[in-house]
Amino acid sequence: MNIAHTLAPVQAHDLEGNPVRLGSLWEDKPAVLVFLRHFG
Amino acid sequence: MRAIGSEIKRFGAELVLIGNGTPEQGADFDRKDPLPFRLLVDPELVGYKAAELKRSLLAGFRPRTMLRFFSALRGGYRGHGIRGNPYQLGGVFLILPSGNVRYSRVSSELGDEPAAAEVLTSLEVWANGLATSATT
Repeated sequence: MNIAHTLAPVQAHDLEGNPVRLGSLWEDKPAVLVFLRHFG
Repeated sequence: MRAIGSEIKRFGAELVLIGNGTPEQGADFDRKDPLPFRLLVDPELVGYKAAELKRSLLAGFRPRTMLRFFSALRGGYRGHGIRGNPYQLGGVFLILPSGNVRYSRVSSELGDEPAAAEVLTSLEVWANGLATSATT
């Protein structure tokens, strides 16, 4: 199973705390996902 | 990061940053230096675990990592404090609407980040493939 299938159902959050399903990010166009180490 | 964001948009793609802090920490980070692309947070590290991104207590103490840190300081880097899990390492993925992963890079230590050119090359190859198939 590729990483996209694993990540697609994962819920992250926007800066207001609203859930965002990661799979929605690449539904219509390519997405470059950068997982940060930490803020700062 | 800003320069690559513009280049990524030029290919019709979106750059999304995902941090491991809370929404409040992410908002504070964005407020200090507003980003022209989307910023999400994953405080429970669900995405990080799903992507099999590494966590390491010792990642910051390897000699090469320390050299990178001091080099960054010499280059003018001044951190704004650590918010989120400091031991969580990151990664970069280019994912197409088909679900195909065209680029993948999992950091193995602090400062182990892909060159922007690697990501852009992957995008360019994909975009050229689309252009070629459209003309045939």
